[in-house]
Amino acid sequence: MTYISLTAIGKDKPGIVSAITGILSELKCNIEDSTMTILHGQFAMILIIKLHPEISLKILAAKLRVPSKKLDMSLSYAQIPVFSSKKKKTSNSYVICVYGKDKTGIVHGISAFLASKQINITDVQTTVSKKAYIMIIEAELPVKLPAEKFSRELAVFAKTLNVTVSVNRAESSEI
Amino acid sequence: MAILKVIAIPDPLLKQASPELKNVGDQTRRLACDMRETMLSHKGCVGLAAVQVGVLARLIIVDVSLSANPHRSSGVLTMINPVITHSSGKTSSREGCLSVPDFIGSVTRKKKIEVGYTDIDGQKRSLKTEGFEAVCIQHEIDHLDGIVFLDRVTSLKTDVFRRQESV
Repeated sequence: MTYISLTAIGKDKPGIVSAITGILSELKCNIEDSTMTILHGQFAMILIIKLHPEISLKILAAKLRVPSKKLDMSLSYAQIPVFSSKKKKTSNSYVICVYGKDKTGIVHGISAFLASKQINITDVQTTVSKKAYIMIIEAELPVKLPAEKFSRELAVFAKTLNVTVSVNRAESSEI
Repeated sequence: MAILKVIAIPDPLLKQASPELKNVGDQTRRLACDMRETMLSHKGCVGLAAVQVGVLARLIIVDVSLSANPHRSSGVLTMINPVITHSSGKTSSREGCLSVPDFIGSVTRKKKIEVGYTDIDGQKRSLKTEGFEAVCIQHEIDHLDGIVFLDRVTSLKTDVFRRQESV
């Protein structure tokens, strides 16, 4: 089984998702996971695709060339290893919210601090709200790392970037 | 009456705790009126804390009947020095705030609360409420303690499907 990642980005307009997925559907390639959004007016999509056994990446790329050219989208591909969903509980999910006056270096500053603590970032959403920059990070804190101590240290570090941070245990929705 | 300017993050005033109001006079009543008019001028706004209009004082107004969706409502609530005396349960909902424009986040709060406060006539009162109204009151009281809902976000805004697998 071959899995590939497909990244496509281009000026947003109606019909992008339909055109790209139309080819995938035609070639019987399944979308395993995806994220699609508009960033700064650009429609960006990242798809994890399971190739049909008779379809090579080359064939898929050739087929997608037509709609991507028509829609002025830039595409890139990569083969990715088959993943197993085994998971050992060695970390806890937390949501870290960072906000303050927008400036260059906030994302790097915070992420470098997290990396130094062996904290794995699993999701990031950012937005600019008028004059403020907001970043919400979902991260896995190693079980061995005491969350309160980490939270205090992060707050001290955040002051050097002139931003406010909060660390909350992630809630999973129960409906 | 006047529509007041609503401040937004990263205004440092929003991180400050508001002091108690010692007495309820004309100045407080005028502020409450202006806050109500300000709230009404923003479609869908259901609550406002004094700090949001730049005044550090423990005064909030809440009116969930202004919401686009129907909710159990006690009408217009003007609360001076509100204090949550009892609370129970947990509820998660998507919150927005005039002071955090263009952003919505999922926040977990208490489901039921009992809040003690002084009303606009200077009378001590107590209110038991739950659901959306309780969430709003907690959101506004947070403002009085220098807390915005971003400080309480417990999941990503697009958190419909949670990622479980790790590679």
